[in-house]
Amino acid sequence: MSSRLSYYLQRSVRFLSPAPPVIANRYPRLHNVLWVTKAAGYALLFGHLITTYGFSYTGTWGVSMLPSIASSGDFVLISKFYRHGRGLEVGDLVTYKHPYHGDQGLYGIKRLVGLPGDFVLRDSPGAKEGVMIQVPQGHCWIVGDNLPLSRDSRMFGPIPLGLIKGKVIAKSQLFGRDFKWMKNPLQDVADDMHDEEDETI
Amino acid sequence: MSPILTGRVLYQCAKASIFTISVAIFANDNLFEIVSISGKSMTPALSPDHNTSGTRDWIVLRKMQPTNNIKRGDIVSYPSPHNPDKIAVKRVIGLDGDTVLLDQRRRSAMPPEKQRGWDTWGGKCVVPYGHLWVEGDHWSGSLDSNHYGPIPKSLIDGRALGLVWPWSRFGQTPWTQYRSKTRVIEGIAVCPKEWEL
Repeated sequence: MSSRLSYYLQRSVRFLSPAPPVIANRYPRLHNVLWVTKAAGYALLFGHLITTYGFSYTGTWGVSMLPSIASSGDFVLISKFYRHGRGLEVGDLVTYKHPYHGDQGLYGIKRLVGLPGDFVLRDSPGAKEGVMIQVPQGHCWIVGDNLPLSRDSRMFGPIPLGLIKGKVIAKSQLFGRDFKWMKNPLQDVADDMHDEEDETI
Repeated sequence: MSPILTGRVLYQCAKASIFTISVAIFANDNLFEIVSISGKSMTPALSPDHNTSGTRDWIVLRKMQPTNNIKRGDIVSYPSPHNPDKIAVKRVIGLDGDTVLLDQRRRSAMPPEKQRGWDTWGGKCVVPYGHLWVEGDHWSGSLDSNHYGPIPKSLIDGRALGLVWPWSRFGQTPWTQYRSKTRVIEGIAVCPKEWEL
């Protein structure tokens, strides 16, 4: 080993090495207890920060999103950068704190159908007279993919964006099997009709 | 200063500041938060002089289980339903199941399009399950449930514990002396059948 390399090695070792282990030498049991407490504290601290402001990965249940997410056994990766509805687009899958049971810790996943100012269908397509209503300021309209078996904005109305906690960016089976990115399925309005007209003319 | 020492000092400073900021965010999110009250919406109780001298009251909010055993008259904080990045601090008037008889005087302080929305309540509101009716104490200049209706309990992220500033009133809870003029008929919260889990 060249002397220069060993010099840098020593330097980095000295730089990274902790203080002399006084407690570990004199009171090994206390040292263990302290280490576990410290590790638990760090896990709590950074676990909270990551799952509130970064990403979280949880299991889901329920039939309301059936073609997109299975009724049980699917796990979703949620990006919390979209909390409070920041940067969301119509067609995204969002997680929200439930407006009725949210204080008991219930969260849901639905598809974002309307943002503030958008006009949305109040009931299921073809169910009633087809009233369109405007989503109020600071609210959003969320509907499940499984229309007959979903309890969503068609029942509780628009919900405040403050209840939106994140956006589903990927889904998988347990431990990341069948990992799949979630894409926004919304398509631009096709221009096919005009093309056909042009052809006939 | 030797380069080794500089590196170690930088490393220790970075570590300490990241740790401090993380602990502060964690405590703000899960334990307690101190916020200032601006505007006249809570005027007799909080920040009474904000309109004239601009002085603000600072209160400490409890962030742990804020809706546990919530009572009428408590002060709660929540992201405003009109602007989710703004924190609103208001008084709980009606719990779920209660019938709130809306205060006619608050209608006169609203713009005409808001008055039309207010009229659709028909003078009273039965607060839905899992929701709260919140109002500012001042009858005018308060954006509250008279504008956006009852808010979900799950929106609420803090409950006021007491004043921390001005120092002369530290620890006081001035909102407990004030009785809101909005009348409430107490009811029982019943979960609707379609919302049972």
